[in-house]
Amino acid sequence: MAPEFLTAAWGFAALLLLIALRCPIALAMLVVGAAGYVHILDHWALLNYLKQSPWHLFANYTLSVIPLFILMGALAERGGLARDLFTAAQVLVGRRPGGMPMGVIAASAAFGAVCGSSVATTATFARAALPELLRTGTAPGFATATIAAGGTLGILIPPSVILVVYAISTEQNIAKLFMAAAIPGLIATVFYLIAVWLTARLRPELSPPAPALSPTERSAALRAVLPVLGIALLVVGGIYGGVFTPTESAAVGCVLVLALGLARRTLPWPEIRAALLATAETTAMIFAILLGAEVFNAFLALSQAPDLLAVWVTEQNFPPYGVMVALLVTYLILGAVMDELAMILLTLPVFFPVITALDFGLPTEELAIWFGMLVLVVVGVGLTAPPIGLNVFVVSAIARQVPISATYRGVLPFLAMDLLRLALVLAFPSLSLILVRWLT
Amino acid sequence: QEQVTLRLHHFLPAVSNVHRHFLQPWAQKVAADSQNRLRVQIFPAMQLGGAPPQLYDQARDGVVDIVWTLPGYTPGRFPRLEAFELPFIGHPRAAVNVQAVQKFSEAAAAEELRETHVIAAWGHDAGVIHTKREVKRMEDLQGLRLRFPTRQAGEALRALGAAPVGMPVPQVPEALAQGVIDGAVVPWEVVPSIRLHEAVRFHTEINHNPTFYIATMLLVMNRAKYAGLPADLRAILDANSGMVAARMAAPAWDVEGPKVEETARRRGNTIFELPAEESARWAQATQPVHQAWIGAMRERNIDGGALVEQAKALIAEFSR
Amino acid sequence: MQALARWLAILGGVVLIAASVLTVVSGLSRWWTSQPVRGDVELVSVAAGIAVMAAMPWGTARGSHIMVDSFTGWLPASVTGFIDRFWRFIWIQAFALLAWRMALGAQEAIRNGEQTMGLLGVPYGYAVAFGAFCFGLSALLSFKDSQ
Ligand code: NA
Ligand code: NA
Repeated sequence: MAPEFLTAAWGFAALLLLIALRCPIALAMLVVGAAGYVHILDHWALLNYLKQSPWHLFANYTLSVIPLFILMGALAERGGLARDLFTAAQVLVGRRPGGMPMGVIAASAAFGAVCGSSVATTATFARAALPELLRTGTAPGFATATIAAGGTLGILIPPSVILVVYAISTEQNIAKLFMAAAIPGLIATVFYLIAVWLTARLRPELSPPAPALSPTERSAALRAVLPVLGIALLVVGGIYGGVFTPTESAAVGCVLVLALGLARRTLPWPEIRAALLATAETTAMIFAILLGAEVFNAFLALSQAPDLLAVWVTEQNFPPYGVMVALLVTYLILGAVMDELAMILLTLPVFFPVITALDFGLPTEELAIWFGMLVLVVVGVGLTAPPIGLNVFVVSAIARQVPISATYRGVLPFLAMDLLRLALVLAFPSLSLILVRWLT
Repeated sequence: QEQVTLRLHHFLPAVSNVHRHFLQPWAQKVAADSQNRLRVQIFPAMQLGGAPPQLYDQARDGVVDIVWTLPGYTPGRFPRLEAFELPFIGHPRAAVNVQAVQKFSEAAAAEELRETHVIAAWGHDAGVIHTKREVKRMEDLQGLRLRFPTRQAGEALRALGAAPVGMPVPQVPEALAQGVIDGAVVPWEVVPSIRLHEAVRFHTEINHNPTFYIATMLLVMNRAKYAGLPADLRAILDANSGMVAARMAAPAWDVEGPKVEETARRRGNTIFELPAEESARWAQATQPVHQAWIGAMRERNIDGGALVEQAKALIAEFSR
Repeated sequence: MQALARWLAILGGVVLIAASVLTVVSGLSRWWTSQPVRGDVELVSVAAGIAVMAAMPWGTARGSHIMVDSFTGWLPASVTGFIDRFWRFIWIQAFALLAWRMALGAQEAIRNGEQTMGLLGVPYGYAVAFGAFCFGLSALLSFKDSQ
């Protein structure tokens, strides 16, 4: 085995060990990356490398879309926009068995069309909808699982932070990736609705129908949701239509959500302050991981192992679909035990060149888009799959009275639907590509 | 006998023309001249981490041994070299610019390059305006968001009515895809490595002397690493430095550039050559950029006027 | 110290809102006058950098850095508590190292007059110094937590 592979393998082993030993992921990547950097070069190189690297990483126009979308989601949540969506959903579907959880899925999908983060979407509905679900009689584990699964729509439906990171690490077009994700995102929503419907059908005691609203309440709820839908349409349509850059659309979204909240007096200063603090918390978490990944990736590049691995895999003459399935299974396993953002940041430099070197009968750009959609599906699975499902953790952090094992049991029907969707997206690349082909 | 491997770091992918047609041949020549005792290992695409603006410091601080970078990525840091980057100073051919800038770096600009050992300094050929909308006259630039390579080219574009945005070359494809910019101003040579000819359909060339703009470039080495080389290897490196290395750089633009232009033409892109009268109009309109720069240099106790005259004289000397 | 971290996080959020407003104004200005706000892209980049730096101490104070506890769930709380204090101790070193190196980086950036690549040429040395301060504060907060 080449010494490069050995160095990188030790690095990965150390990383996984540290993560298993409760080391925060950002710290683990930073420490292992730094140690590897020093091992290959020397400590002066590392010390000098650190002088301005965090600044140039953080002060980046493209990445600025991440804190902006998080801020927009936090403001929307604090300003009651998420609740508006939920109430509207209650009006439309609340009277049927499973209607309320289905309403949460629909509202998560609508919110996902504005917000690019699954953590933000999950947190939003855990705060806004969970009390309503429990109040109207939905079983606790089913309610938390619905919110955790619905939260993945935050990234499955564009805009999506994961797709932004995918586009940046693979030098793909963000707008086209967002466009491509529309149909798989819609399928995800429909499948989750089916999962809820089936569960409610088989075990009606889990989700009795919600109390009826008066006609006045109904029309008020439907009126209240219009501005939110308008903002969603403007932000997403602006990106699709090429009127805004993603950063601009996030900025427009922030300003409009803030303005709407101020106009309706639902965003007094304490609420804004809470939104800003929530934004800071999520932003710090994500960028600490990005910083750790930057150092770890520099170490991997220095070891030259990723290039060699990519060359090695392409020389094995596996059939293309064999390689693809192997990579996706790897992702499902990695996604179950680690953070998804870190997972794709770590593995894309290795896997992406491997995939683009294979022949699936698609032009390189379409192949990259299709692979991005597949990565998005497995990332979504990893967000709710035990043992490490970030969305489940987020719900649990807010719904402390519901045991985490109950939530994990509740997500199983949703995971089954995810695997079905993965098979569909894999078998029919055109599901991911047809919109891009039409619209460009 | 002692063997030395030097790490060379730069920002373009390995398929780029400068990587293939200058850095690799140069590294091979150094290796051959030293019977493989002095090897240069090239790390493209910022693989060793950091952002392009950090490259110069990476060489200065010994994070890597050698970097290829553009002074334009660290504005304000190399004020004297900017004399070549002012509008309508440079020559449309790299063969001329490489020698003029190299000679300038040995004398007039030596002071600001003290922190590293300079292997070569050079300038590229005529920069081209690549846009989604055709640019045939000054008025067509009105409001166009164009990526600029150096601050002086940016000021020149602004003087012509465009809305310029500064960023390193590797960010251009994404910025174009997201609609952050409507086009980019770069020489032909770099176009394929960022797939620019696929993202835009119009190209405006300014092939007169002086041309609209050129950017200067540096190949610099960590000082301590240079001083620590065995004497015979240092002599081999020296023999492949300065004017020798600068002249080796020129074909990456003068030979490869026209090939790229042909590729764009075959794709069906529109290539427009700016007529002499229009070019003269642009030169007239960008004159205030010279005045502003000379004024800014005066504040730093640098005689900008004299530097401009020197730059012009060097271009004239080598274009004969 | 916690209060300072909270104050910085709010400041960072306000900077983000300001960047959003600037982006919207610049877009409108480009619509009407064909000229955006001069240097809007570099200002938004710098604002994002400041906001991220400002968020670090608060994220650290809230202990929000993601970690995985599924493999150590069977251990008694006293043991996992000890492990967590150990990692906080390592965070101190990491943050302190980053703060120290960025302080040097800031010093050099200010001395060299380094600026952003745009037309405005924002001298970013002071923002790097702010980043060093934020990492330093994060180190202190981790230290307080590990007690
Ligand atoms: Na979304
Ligand atoms: Na996971």
